[in-house]
Amino acid sequence: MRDDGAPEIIADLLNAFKADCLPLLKSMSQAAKANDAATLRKAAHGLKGAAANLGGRAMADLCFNVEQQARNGVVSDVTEMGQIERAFEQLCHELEVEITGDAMQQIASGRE
Amino acid sequence: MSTQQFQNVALSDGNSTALPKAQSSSGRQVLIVDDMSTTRVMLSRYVRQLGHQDTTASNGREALELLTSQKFDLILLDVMMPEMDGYTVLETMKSDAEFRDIPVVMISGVDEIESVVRCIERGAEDYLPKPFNATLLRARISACLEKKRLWDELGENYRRLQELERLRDSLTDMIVHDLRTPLASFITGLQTMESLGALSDLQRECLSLSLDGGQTLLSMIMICSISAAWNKAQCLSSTRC
Repeated sequence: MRDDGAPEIIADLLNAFKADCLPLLKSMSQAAKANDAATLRKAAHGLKGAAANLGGRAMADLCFNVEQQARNGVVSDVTEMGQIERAFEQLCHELEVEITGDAMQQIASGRE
Repeated sequence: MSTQQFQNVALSDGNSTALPKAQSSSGRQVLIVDDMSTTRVMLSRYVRQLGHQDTTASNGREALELLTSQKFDLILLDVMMPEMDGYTVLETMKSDAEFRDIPVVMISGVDEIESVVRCIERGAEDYLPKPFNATLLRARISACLEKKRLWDELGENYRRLQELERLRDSLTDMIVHDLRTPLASFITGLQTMESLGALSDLQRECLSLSLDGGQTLLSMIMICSISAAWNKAQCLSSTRC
């Protein structure tokens, strides 16, 4: 059971998550194109932390792989970048569903 | 659904029956320093759930600026940040007497243990691994704040003790001065009477007893005075006073 402010809290987290991840995703993509392993590693590290904080295990694992490869000087390809972007979108979607679900539940309980 | 962590964050405050708040350490000021908005939002929520006030900073420079303008009881500090990292903030704090006693808990990823060890060697109190575990987080924040509260209380009691010691010394000085001066006059008067002669044996015996008593009392006052001066000198030679 959540408190009355749960949808707002998750909405705050979702906004913060997007604010953290969107610039990092862009940076990661640019670094991959420029074959810049150092920037790629930093961006993947940041994305991994943000995803792990919200329980986004799949996205965190993908970022961890890219980070480890970049640490060894290997720049990941477009496929892996695409997988991370999809995992990010999926996690955002799950959070949005949580917000909508909680809000609906609150409206319903208010009517009772 | 794999979003266990944000479920922890959004847990009802009613959950605090299982994890009671540390009443004596509530309402403290916590500074959260992390470049990731997600981490700041989550930690702010946890801190408020524990009944404390939160302030956030997104890098080390901002944190140091806040430290000079506000009082904090605990700092939750990320290691890797742009502009100024956690190491620099920690070193700056530990080299400054004003901030040295504020406990610092490092925020780190599970793969950053070496960095954490480096920070603890430099004076960090503890660390919080990411992703956060609600129970561990609450326990560490509460433990650090309770320790800080006890440390502050100890400092305050020591300050009061010093005040009492100063008061005792002043009182001793005052009593010694106020007794010695009239007693010295009294003894001088008796000695003058004795030197005048023409006294009966009984008068001479009474005078002698009075003089002995007066001298004994003066010696006791002098011992008190020397003892107070000795204590004061001991205090001044020690860094504690």
